[in-house]
Amino acid sequence: MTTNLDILALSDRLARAGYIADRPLATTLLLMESLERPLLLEGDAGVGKTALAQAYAAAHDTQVIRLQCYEGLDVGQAVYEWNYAHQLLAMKLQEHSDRPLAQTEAEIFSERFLLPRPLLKAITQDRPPVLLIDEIDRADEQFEAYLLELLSDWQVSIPELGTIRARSIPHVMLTSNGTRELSDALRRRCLYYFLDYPGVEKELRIVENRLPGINAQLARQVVKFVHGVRALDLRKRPGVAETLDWAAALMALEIPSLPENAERIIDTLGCLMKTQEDRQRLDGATLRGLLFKAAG
Amino acid sequence: MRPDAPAERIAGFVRALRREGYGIGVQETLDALRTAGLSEPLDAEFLRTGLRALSCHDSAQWHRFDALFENYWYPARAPLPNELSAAETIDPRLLARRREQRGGLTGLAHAMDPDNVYSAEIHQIGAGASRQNTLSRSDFRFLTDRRDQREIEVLAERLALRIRRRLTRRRREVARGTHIHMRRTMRRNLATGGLPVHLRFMERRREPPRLIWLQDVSHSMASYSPLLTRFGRGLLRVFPDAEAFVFHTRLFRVTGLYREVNADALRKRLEGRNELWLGGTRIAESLTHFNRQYAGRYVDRRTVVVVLSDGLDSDAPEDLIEAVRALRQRAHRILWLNPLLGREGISAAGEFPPALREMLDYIGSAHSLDSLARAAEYLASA
Repeated sequence: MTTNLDILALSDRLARAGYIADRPLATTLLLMESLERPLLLEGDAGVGKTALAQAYAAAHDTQVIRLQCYEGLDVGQAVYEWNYAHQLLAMKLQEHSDRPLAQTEAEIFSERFLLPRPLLKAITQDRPPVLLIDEIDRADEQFEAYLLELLSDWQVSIPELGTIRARSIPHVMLTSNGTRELSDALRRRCLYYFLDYPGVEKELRIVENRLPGINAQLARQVVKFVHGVRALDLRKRPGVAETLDWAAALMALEIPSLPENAERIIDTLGCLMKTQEDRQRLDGATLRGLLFKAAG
Repeated sequence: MRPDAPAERIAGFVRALRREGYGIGVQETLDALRTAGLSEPLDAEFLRTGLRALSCHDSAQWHRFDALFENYWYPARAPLPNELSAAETIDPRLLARRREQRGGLTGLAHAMDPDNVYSAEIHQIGAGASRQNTLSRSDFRFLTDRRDQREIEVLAERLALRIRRRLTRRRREVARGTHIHMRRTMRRNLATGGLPVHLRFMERRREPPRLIWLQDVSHSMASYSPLLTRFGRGLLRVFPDAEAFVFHTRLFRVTGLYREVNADALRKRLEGRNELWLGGTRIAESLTHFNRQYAGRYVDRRTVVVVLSDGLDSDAPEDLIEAVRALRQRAHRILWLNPLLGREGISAAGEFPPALREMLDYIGSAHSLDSLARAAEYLASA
């Protein structure tokens, strides 16, 4: 049974771990536990998908095991690999022994020579970790199909060793930036949550939570300015991570307020806008307009 | 919130979502019921969050969900569709009557009554598995139902993404090659104490070509633009170094826009740039501009150029032939997809002058999903 108190308690634990989660997100995380389904998080880069997994792990006092996906990722890098160098050494040591070949083979393909990669590591923990499968859309379809099997059966088959069953079921979070369309099967296996850019008040809470020393006026101006920037037609809109970077940069430069320091601010905008095209979009008039709104 | 038995109402809501294109299976329905059971007493916001997480599978569904939820559970307060009559928009009594009717008829649940929907779908496009086939063959300009259009657009993008399997960069085992396959080599050489006498190799599959997408977005292509844009967007995500351009009287590079994460956002941003959308056509001038400004950087012997245009050009045909010839000298392959070729009585021989035809490696239609599938098949092996 999930009560209001459970939801509030989880929000509170996440906040203490540095993540401001609203009620629907906290509810979805509780459902992830109750229904034992993986959670698929989508949203623009920088909205806090990876940070959520880390905060969730901190809130549950467990570890994050992260698998960063990329094109060409295969079982050897994601699940397990044999330690070839050690195997070779072991074979050399037994070169002159009279042991039968089958026995040698059984020994060098035993757990002793197995290198567990993130997926195998995640299912062999005694305490359920958070398994973060980051940017699953970058992996190819064959890997996705394999992953689907693992998420259903919670076991890994190693031809030379047999089947390894999960000691505990990890809390699985997958993130996607939409590089490619994910399969329907994987989407249906998961709970879905779309992480959007936070509203002004929520982002303000995030900034104050992550940068406790920031003055209230600067924090509000930074957040309002970034919201104005996001409304521009940019190639890459700044995420929450960029807001935090920029606010930290302004603090380091001891800038107490935006409108009075327009000249110095220009030098720091690289924290917010990461392409030349976007940087040019923010011309003098646009910048002044945004600063005026931020001060209001 | 409606006071009926929750389990029945939830099952009804799931059915309504399915008819809206949400892929919800039996397991999701059972989990939806479990979710409702997790909150005692049943909390509407908890239920909304749970059902949304279970039933949505992408951002488009996510953003539509709240309206559907409101429509089903709170029919009296749900926003009315935008096809209100002028009288209803100004007379509050008429508006109230309409709301009352909707509330009394259980809102979306009634509107989505299986019999009504089934007969409507049969009437419109066919039913069940045959519906997919019919949709695949349908000329996109005749699909007037927004749901059908959306479905076909999504399928067009998925079709493009399927090419990825053919272009995969994974390595495969071969008898001879340049990279040693350690695992196979170890097993093969157990008998020699690990001394690598018999080597096994793996090789990278062939490098995918670079794709250049040149899409005509003039007024005459308007009815096909949503379909082709989604197809192009899919291809751009499959081919690693792809570049996209659109043209009407001028040419614009839109690679960044086509890589937009959200398809709806892409459409909005394209439509937002009025100068990019639905003007007249100068194909020869646009291709000449491409040759002058971009071809040197983007087109080489591993480049496949895809031109999507109905060929209705206000420039002279000789100029177009000259522009394609210049492109031909640089590119590996040129494909020309013309939606008009899907119409009866229109053929490539009639649409393309011989001098142009002989420079094109593939001429095909682009009016339906089936025709795009043929083009995709060609692209995968180009």
